[in-house]
Amino acid sequence: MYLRSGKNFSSYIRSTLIVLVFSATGMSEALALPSFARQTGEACDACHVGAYGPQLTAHGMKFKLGGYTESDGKDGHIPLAAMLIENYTHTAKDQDPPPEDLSKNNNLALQELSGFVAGKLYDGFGAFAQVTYSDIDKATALDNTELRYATETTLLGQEGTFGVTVNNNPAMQDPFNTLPAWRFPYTSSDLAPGPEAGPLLDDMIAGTVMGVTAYAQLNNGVYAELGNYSSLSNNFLGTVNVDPGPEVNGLAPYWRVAYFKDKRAYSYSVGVVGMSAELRDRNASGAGDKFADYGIDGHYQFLGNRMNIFSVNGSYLHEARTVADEKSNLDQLNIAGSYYYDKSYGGTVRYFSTADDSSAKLDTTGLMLQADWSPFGKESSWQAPLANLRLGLQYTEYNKLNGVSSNASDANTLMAFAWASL
Amino acid sequence: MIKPRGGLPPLLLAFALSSPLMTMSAAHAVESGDANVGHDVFDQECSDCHSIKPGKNKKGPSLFGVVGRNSASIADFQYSDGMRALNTVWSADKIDEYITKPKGVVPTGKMKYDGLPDAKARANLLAFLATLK
Repeated sequence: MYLRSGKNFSSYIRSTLIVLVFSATGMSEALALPSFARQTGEACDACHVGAYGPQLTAHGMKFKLGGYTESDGKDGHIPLAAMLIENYTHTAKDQDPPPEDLSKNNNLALQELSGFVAGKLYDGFGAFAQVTYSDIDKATALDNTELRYATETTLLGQEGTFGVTVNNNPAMQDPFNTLPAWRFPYTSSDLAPGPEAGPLLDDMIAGTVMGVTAYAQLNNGVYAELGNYSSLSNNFLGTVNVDPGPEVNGLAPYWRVAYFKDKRAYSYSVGVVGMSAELRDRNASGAGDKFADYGIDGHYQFLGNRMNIFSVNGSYLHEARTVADEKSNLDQLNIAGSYYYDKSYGGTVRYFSTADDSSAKLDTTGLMLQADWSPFGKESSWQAPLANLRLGLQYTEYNKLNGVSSNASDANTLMAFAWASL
Repeated sequence: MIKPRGGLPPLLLAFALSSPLMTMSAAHAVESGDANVGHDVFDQECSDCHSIKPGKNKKGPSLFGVVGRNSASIADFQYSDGMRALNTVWSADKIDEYITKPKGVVPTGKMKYDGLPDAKARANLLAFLATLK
């Protein structure tokens, strides 16, 4: 998953990844949890666009900010859920060498089988903890995990929701589906080539750190969050089967300010985010490579009577980095627009680009299209909220991939997926 | 009880919900409101937390038969202390007052809803709620 101890981090950065954004063993992107629906008595469509996670409606954003604790008031809800993603991956050109233990093309794989502890643990306390088995990696590891405490109160004259989150993936706590941890695509193939360059906020230290941040969502719309991340120990990461990767030298500060309004017929947010870290090999001492991210993001979502839902989510992240004494900049743009009819039939278009002015010049631009169908997830659905399924077809087209234009289309990928949860 | 209907196109719904304020009593509103449009208002404003199925409670209680029902009267729903102390009957007028500004009627209630200031939208919603019986 990440760099093993004993390698030189700078050379590692230069040679292989800067970041394996879509690495076969990175943190999973997917999330859809019926335990939340059982806890609240609500159907999945109340919190999720298209009646399937993880794209949140404004109602879902507030549930998350409230610490996953709102309920129908009844006792006895068990905060457990499970999820499975099976996919079929076809690339325009055969992969040589092929993915380990698989064919050069047209692979069917059990990409994720996850178990969750997700929901209210105690008054004000909630959890989202995921353990994932990948049949591609033949391994089980701790995945996205956070614990939250939240309360509604008045502080310094401001009414709102105030909380603390402890998590292992920077920005996984963010509710707006604009930042890398939970933005579109919500699932993509681990068996296809992809961009090798991405900023710190895009999975670079996901799963190998623990962060504590405090946040406030004021009733006047202002959202603010501040905290720090530090590396988890090698022993702990070994216990949860996560490769340790580079070490954060000291603390990595994370901050976020946004303005969020839920008008029920529609919602929107605009925000800024930042994070910086100094990363070095775990066996090294002294200064490491430096990364400083700044970004702007926003979303608009028209919900109306929920029959026709339009969403636009986007982010622009700029990173200033110093890797092995080379200063460079990386800029990443992502924008996705989606339409869902009757909370079941959806289509999404995403444009993505990465501009890398380092000597590696790992520029990438492309387009992604997805069509999906979620037959359940509504109040009237069969076996609601136990049965949940999304079937989808996703196509990724590259105009440039990792600095190369001439044969970028070789990596164009068609993925069909079945995504179930209970 | 619940009429099947298709969704209003988004622009028409937005227009319907942004009509000028009307002055009328809630009881009159029930008669003059459009239940079909009110169903859309319900879907937009209420459906995340409330069901219209009998006995189906979410974070809020079922709204089936709410017009004319005693407040805090669903046995297996956990109402707030404030709602239990309200001791009223959900007449059209009372519902209209409540959904205009919930905290104005039940200051310590747990419903997280700021209110629906548009009188025409409330009239349509009340007309729809009145069909749930």
